[in-house]
Amino acid sequence: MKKLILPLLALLLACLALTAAAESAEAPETLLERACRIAEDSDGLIVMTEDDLYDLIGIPPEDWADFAYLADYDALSGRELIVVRAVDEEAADRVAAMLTAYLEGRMRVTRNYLPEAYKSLSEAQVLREGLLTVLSIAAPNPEEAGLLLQEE
Amino acid sequence: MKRLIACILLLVCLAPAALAERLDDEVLLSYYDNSVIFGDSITEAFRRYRSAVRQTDDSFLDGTTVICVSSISLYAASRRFLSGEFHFSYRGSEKTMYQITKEIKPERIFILLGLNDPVGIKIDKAVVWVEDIITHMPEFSPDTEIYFFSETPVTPGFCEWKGRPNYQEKINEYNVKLRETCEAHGAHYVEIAEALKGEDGYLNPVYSSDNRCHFSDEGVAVWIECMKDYAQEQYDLGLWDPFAAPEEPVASGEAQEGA
Repeated sequence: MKKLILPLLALLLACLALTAAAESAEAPETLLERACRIAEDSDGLIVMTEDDLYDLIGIPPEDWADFAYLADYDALSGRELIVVRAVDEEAADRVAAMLTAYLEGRMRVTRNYLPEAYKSLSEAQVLREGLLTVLSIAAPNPEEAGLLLQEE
Repeated sequence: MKRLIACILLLVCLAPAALAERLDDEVLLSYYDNSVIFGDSITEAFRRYRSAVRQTDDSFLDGTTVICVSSISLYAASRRFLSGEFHFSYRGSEKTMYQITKEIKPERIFILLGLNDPVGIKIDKAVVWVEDIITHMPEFSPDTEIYFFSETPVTPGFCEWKGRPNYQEKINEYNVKLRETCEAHGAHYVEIAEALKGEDGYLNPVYSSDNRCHFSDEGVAVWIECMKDYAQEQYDLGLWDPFAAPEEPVASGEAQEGA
């Protein structure tokens, strides 16, 4: 009986291990998961919604395949991280343009009002790699945007 | 007999109070569904607070759109064209409050502006700007009701920073005028200032994030409580029924049948 049970247990464990591996292989990391992993302060950031992405920045749902939008709870700190994977090259052009306009608008508003936030914004850039565009503002790690793009 | 009459009178007076029910928070906040809140940097704290709460409760004020930009003035917002340095932005474009309202067609808009003018030293002009908004908004969205939050209090530190030691008194004066103007022109006034004040009549420091004019979490929480109280008041007055079935659009065939 023992000779039968042990191999059966081993087979069961092997099946479970294979299933878990298959599940993790089937579920690619989302941009939000990637952003939360790479952003050193992600625990303290708010996850903004697709409505925020559209209403605040102007990126419509039909232009993106995936996105991550994180922002500091303190609205006056300027800290934000926006990562968007567009559906195609034309959409990626529009996304980059919207993020650039958003950055410029934030700089205009903070210039005479929030000098620290303005400084962070003026050091930020919209970076793009293929269909992926990143705007990283006031990140604790200045390499944050590059790290996000590298993994694409 | 007299005692009986007295008891009956007492019951008649107390019965309405006993019957008045405090609605659930979720029901009260549904008053703000299909609404837009326009504001400046003070409203930024509200927007982030809402986003933070929605990390765990995505139904929280999910029917409310919050549009704010730091430094925008009541004057600039009252203009029907883009005026001044700061403008509202919606879906990637700078737009006037009127254009945004026309685009969204909300049931209600709520406005909290005036800190950047500042209205306290321009009370009469500010009243004109408020009248302009009330007068012109229907041209863009005739079915949208207009609400003004009371101008929120500031700390003594703010008054000192601005070199205006009596500025809080001026805000108080402005709010009286704001209420009168709303009532005279068919708009609505939502009182939030009093609950935010400390015993000294200034912004309670517990409710301030910067010891000037911006709100802490506790301050925003008080603001939201005031919003709930206002919704409850509308319900108590019979002006709002959150339980009413939504009107179904009448098909053109049915309309003709009854004619």
